[in-house]
Amino acid sequence: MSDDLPRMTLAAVAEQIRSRQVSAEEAVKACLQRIERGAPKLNCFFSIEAEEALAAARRADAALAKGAGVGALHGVPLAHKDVFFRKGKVATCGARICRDMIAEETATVIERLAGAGAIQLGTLHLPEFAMGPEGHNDHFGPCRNPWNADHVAGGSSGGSAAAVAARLVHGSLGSDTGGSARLPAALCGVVALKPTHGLISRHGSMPLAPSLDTVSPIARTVEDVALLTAAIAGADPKDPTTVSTPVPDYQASLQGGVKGLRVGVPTDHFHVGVQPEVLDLVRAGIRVLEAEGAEIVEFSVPGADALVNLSSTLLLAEAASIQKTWLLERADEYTPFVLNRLRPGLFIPATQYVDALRLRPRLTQEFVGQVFDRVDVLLTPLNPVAAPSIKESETGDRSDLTRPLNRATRGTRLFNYLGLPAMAVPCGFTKAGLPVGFQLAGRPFAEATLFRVGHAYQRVTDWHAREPNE
Amino acid sequence: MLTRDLIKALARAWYGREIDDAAATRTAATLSPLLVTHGSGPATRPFADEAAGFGGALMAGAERKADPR
Repeated sequence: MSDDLPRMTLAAVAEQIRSRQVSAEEAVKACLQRIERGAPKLNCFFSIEAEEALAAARRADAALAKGAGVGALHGVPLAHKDVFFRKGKVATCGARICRDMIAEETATVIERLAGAGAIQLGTLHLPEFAMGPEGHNDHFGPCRNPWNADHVAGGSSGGSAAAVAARLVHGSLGSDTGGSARLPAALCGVVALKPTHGLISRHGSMPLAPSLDTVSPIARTVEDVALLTAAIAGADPKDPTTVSTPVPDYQASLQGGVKGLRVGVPTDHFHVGVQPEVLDLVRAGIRVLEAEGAEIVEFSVPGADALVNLSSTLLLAEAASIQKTWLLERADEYTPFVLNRLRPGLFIPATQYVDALRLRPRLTQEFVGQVFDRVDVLLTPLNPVAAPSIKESETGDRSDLTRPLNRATRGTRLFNYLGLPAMAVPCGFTKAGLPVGFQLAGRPFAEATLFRVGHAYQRVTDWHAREPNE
Repeated sequence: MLTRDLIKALARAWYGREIDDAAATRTAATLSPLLVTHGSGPATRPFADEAAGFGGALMAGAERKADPR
């Protein structure tokens, strides 16, 4: 029984705990045992907080025994990318520079998860300052892919994607500034949501590029991601960019099915450089939705390349602004790859940066009008290739934009620029046994529609239920 | 087009730092493709209106009625 618990979905284990069929302590112990076996092989955990987690689990069980009202995630074991601050603890942000920095307050999303009853088991791997879709970190070593430990898990939320895929925890928070949750999720075969800008508070999470940063729930199923999203979404006075509109009932939205929904398939920008084997799997996924009653509409997405460049302008300028003192005073503490990625931001003209911000509302309105008046969601490939091997991805210039995973961000970054929601959904495996995912994107605050489509897909497929060997 | 020498000069002038040729070349190569005009035209409204407009654009996009088919 013990090893079966971590293999349950988040929704299932939450229900088991709530109905007292298993205790929170049992659920936490079972995950800790799996972490003890699996984490060293994958290098996905930065810290494991076993004693604190067990104490929290016992408190959760005591509260349940007293008949206290419990949250939706009561007793559920989670772990998060090491970018979320907790008062009195270090958040490394994957960087040597931050290794001794103790947080003075706790991130809103961590407080909300605790309020919902979730238990944090530790912190998870990321590349230095979340820079790099391949997920390498020369300070901490590479995070490995659970489907083949000789391959990368992707980045930057690779620790989250790997830990969830390997059934070490039931869910995780990552972050997504340009694809950092969606890409590793696709490479590891799990689900990740990049929410609409303003849906989820970023207060207390590492700022990389604040006008693009989002907090991203990651889990094995769309239903689980919807549960995590519901627990953390909504206005936060500490993050004035959050919106005050009510958070929809995401669980109710799951049941809608796709009959009559229009699924847009842009065949130009997003398909460039995608390997035929990967594209075949994505197309098979499209046929599944069509068989479920969705209307498939093929068309072109206007101006996608320009949107990617504008996103890069914001990312580089904002990241360099935030880290300017470190870039100038402590450059030798960065790894060369990350220093090379961040330094160009010091030289972006202010007019260029302001243009990128100034154009944003107009381009967002145009994009929404031209795309989402014609279709309800977009469906695109995510990873153009399966996870590359660690060996091949460690060689050469990692900042070379023609490398497959760097190129992959051309299909993800535009949604950060436009502020739109997008979600990674696993859709199969290559002949080598490595996962592939597709991306769903929607109009602002249409997370419920993405959940509806993704859940409908997962009801009739079993990619999300397949488990990597230990 | 940015050049290696321009980046080196800016590093010296703005930040009082010397950067090596390779880093300056890489920086110039990274930035040059980004420094293109996107046809925004002259700004006719204060910048603050435009920045605040992003949230408005998102809300408008959320509220826009889909094709009723």
